[in-house]
Amino acid sequence: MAGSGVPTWEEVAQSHGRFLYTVAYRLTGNDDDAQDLVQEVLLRVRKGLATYQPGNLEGWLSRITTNTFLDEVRWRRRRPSEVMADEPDRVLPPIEGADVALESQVLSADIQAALARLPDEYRAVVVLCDVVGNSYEEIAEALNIPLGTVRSRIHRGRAQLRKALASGGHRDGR
Amino acid sequence: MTAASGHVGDALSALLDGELHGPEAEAARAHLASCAMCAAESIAVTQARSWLRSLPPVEPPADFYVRLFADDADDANDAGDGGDAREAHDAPDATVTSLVVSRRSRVRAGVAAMAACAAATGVVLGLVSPHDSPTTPPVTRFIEAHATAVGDGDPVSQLAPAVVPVAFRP
Repeated sequence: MAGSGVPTWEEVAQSHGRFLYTVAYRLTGNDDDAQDLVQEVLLRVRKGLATYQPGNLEGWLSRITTNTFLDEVRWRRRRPSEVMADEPDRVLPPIEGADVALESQVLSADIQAALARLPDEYRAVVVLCDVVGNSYEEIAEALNIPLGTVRSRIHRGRAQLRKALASGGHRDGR
Repeated sequence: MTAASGHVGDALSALLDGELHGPEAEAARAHLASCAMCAAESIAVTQARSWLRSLPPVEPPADFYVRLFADDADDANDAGDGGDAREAHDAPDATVTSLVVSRRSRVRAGVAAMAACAAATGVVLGLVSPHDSPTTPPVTRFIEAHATAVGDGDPVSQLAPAVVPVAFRP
């Protein structure tokens, strides 16, 4: 840690590696993309530390992670050869799996699978809200979207996730 | 409350999260108390919210940090060589990122590691190569040349005194 209270990027990687990986994994839904996302994020962190003001480091990191993820999503959308991302208002198909009645105990893998099926923009705000713990205002500021948009995406994301889990039951998971 | 439907709608999650205040929150609570549909939706969304918040931290794979720092060292080397497309591509305000390039970086690091191994193997093989003859330094010639140059060496051997006395173990 430098005397100014600003950590080096190596310190960020060491002390917040698991946090970054968790957020990245919840956003991307798989290990390979999560690792790539963390790598991209740390490149931005390294450049951004020059202007970083000591404060809520995890908030800053989650903001960079989510924006990097959404940048990637938009980049892929612009490429015709890439698989098109989900449209925000499309209806989610149920998760394939055992037809088990929805109970209070849903496994993490099922929640992650349902999360991965959300439209990217919905998933981004849901992760920031329910995984990272950001307020609506922080999310609006981080993603540069209106507060009303944050509110509707969070609600619709949760509603779709619940519907997907209710439709497909749950399977074994982590 | 949404004006169109008369139900709480998207404001429901905001109410649950404590993000709804004042008259808007009061109206939503009053509606929930009398609307079975919104009450049921509230239960469902509360459950989804609870599930999401119960998700545990995800442990990175064992080689996560090794890859991370290896990739970064590779990037740093590239930057030292004048940078590449990726360096410009990853400016903080860049609107485009390329995870594909990141994967390429890993491959590049792997190729570099393989090349280093090959080079090291070559060095080792070179040292033990039968084509190389052992090198013997002309020590006697060096000593004589030095004695000649200094001029006040040992009167018996006509050699220059050693600068650092050599001690031998008994």
